[in-house]
Amino acid sequence: MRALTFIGFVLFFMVTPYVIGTSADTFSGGGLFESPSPAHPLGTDYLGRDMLLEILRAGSVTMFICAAATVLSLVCGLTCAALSSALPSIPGTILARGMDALNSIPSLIIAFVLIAAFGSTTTSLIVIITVVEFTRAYRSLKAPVIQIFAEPFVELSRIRGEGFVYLVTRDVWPNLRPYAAVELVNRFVACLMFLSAISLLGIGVQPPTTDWGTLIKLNATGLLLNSAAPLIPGLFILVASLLALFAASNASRQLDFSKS
Amino acid sequence: MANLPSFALELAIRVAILLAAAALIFFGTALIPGDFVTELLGQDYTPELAAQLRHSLGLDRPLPERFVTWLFHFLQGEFGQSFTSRIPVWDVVEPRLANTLMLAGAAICWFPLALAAGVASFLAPPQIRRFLQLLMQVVLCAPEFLIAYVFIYVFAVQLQLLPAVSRLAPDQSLSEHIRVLILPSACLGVGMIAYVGRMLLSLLLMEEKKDYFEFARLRGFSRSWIALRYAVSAILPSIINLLLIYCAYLLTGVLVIEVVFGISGIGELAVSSVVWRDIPVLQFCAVFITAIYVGIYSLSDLIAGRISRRGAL
Repeated sequence: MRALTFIGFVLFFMVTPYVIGTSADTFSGGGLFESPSPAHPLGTDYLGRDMLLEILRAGSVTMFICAAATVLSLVCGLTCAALSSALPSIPGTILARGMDALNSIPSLIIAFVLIAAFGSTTTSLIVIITVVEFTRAYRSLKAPVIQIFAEPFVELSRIRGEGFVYLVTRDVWPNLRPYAAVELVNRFVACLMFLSAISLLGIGVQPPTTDWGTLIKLNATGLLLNSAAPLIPGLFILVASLLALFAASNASRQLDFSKS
Repeated sequence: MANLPSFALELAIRVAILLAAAALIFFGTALIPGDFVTELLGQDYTPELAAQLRHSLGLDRPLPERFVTWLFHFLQGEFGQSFTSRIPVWDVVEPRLANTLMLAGAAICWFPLALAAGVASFLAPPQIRRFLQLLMQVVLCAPEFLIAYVFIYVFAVQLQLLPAVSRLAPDQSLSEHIRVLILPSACLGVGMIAYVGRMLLSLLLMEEKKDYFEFARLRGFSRSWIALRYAVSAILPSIINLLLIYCAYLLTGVLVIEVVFGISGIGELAVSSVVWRDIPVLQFCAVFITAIYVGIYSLSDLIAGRISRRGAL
């Protein structure tokens, strides 16, 4: 149930802009930084646009980038974890040490270097967040993957002559699903925080496209004019991560249940 | 001293990791497409001038050779010249480094409060403890910039107690420094209180299940006395580790908070070097922060190993 709430929340923000069809250049004719009123339930932003519509529009960008980066980083992390436990010892060690080196660079620094190199288009942001997050996914999935690879039934399949892809998809993956579900939610929160932070720093999603982090940055001047506008996107980020957390605390149990 | 070879090996691994990280950073910045020489010259662009500048910056050499030269210069303390301001990188970094260190130092001052929060929530009655746990969880879920904007909104705009923009200048008095640093350091401190408090609480709850705790209670000591006198000293290595991990977190947390509060520090410098593609400054900031990060983690491993080994004797 909690997991469904979270998934519903994400899907809602992904889909809404296509349903209500907001576009960047519709002006609602409000004043700058108006307080909430019946016409503008969340007030207006720094250009006098309706804050609610802006949040919805930015929400779809945020959710799209985060969901893509989450799935990609989970797939990459899982592949590397499987590779490092199935490879012969020398390439496996090289892979693991490479991960250590990548892991020892603070995530924001990786983002700085890669954004300077590739710019901040949507695609490059997804790739950059994936690069940062997949090492984390690798680290937390590695232990269960190694454990499952050591199981007798995997050994049996190996002796039977099955290939690597079969081992991973048929033997390891079904046993890994609860871990992967929890990791999926954790990665989503990390991606959300990370994307918002780099957007807030002004090197993430670039206007006129906005995500929640960019909205905070653009509306920051409102604080000094006694408006709470920049806090609103932040509250949405907080709600998203709280929902994800509650889903994660239930996710492994849910998956075990659905499997039986 | 029997552990000296393994210690040396450990050190060598850390240095190798740091070198690999430096290589990743270098090749990452070398990937920058488009010619930043053209951008640098702007309207003065002529093919001859571009070739000359590329030669003088050493950009016409093969990549591995550039990396080795760069690394050697870096190790000798020659960090190159900033592309945008045309002055040595260290002169750009030095005044900002002091500001960043001041902010980080101010943030660490909140650590005792975090310890107190952990112990207090352990000693509190169950309902209050559950409430505190929930509160800490919510704070942990809130990104630090949200906390920062909430603090600015409440303390600077509504209550008008503290400045919303923290300008640090050498000519300020100490009390002025403190006044300016309270709000930004509190934003980092609140996250620390929640994180350390939660970890400490779960560590103490684990200690409570151990035999010595039960024994001391049967001897008639009160729960708070056992916790303060014995349990806290039993988990001291973990506490030091928490402090070091938090220092590592501060490194990146500080970058964001600096930009929010307009403090001109390393973080702000790094962000503007990304925007202006000022490669030498970016490389320096990246390697410098990574080096501190690796150093802190090595230190934390070392201390944890040392103290627990002594405890085992």
